Amino acid sequence: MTSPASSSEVKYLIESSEGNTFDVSGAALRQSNTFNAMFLNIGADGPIPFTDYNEATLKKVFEYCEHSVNEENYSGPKHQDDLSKWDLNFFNEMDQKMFIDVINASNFLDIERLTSYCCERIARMLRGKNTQEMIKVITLPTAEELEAKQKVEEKKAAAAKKVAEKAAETAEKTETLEELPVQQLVQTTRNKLTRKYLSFSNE
Amino acid sequence: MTTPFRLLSLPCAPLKRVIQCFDLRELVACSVLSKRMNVASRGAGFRYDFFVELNGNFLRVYRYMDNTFFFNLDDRINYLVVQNPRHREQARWSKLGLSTGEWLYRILHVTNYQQFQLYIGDAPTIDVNCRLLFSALSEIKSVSVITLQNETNTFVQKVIDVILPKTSTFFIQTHHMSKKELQKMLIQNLVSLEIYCDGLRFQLDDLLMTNAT
Repeated sequence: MTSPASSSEVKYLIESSEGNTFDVSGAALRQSNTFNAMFLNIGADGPIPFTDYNEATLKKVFEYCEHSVNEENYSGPKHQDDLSKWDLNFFNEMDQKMFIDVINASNFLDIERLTSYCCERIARMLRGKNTQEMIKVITLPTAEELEAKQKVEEKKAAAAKKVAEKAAETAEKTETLEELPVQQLVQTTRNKLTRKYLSFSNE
Repeated sequence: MTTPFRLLSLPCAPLKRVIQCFDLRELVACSVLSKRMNVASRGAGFRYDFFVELNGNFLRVYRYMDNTFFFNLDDRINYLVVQNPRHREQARWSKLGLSTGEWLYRILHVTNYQQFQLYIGDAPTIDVNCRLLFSALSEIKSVSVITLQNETNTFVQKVIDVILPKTSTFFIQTHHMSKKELQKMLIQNLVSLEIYCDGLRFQLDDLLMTNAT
């Protein structure tokens, strides 16, 4: 799994959020620009952790990559009508949660073709619709949801502020603790020197 | 996917790409749904220049051979008409409680317009309270051309007052204009001024007032 990336038969191990690992071919993985930027030249020691995404999502994403390995070079988004039967099945068998997860993963992995197909598919759901029809298709966060989100963010900010304040306090304390002996040391040396000087001058 | 889709739960880059797939009509529809959608739509990086026509009681915002938005200046009328000349379609949209001024502002804002041409035809006959329309017009950065066709009234005068300081070219095609009104327009920093009427009498001193070439 950790061999030069030039060989298309190389298999890489991918680790999901559950900690499970599975094989993906090098050719499929090379469709991800993120992978290319991170591991292509240096190779990977052990499984590549994509731990923000679950196994089902990653498998779905790489299933697409494996399928499109042999397709001609990507040249801009295809119209939905031009999608093959396999592509249509691929998209149709996903539920909404999975679809969003796939977009997220595809966006992170920077898989140009899959991301653009997904985006085109969403745009198609909204195409030709007016404002009221769009409201039916898109779920907008309600005022309560936004309020709850704001509260969570405020709580987080308050907690972060508290942590920062505590850290500042402890830093101040340590500073004073560290400073005290030094000051004392300076004072005692100064006293000693004065005494010495006085005794010397007396002599 | 028959259940409503949580579009705003998408990451920024895919959301931008989804919006980039829209045409003007969908972009505008999307942008008035919520503030967050408006911000997201604006971030998609569209750039359109518009023609705005103020004629009678109607405001028309359009692009050449593209969607046209018809508004009634009377805000009690809670719909607008959207026409697509390519597909010869016409649809009636709800204004969603927004005024004509707010719609104009949203359209111009979301399309990151650079400049537009304003055509002022007949003055409105209804008594329009267009505080929001004026505030939308005052937000406009630059107007390439104003064409004044017919007689003015207080409403049209107010529109011109708001718009004129940002205008580079002014076409005056009306003879229903007093000398005072004309002088007021001449002292603006216009790049060019064209006057096409016989009835309007002005002297050389009036013309010397203008900075326009």
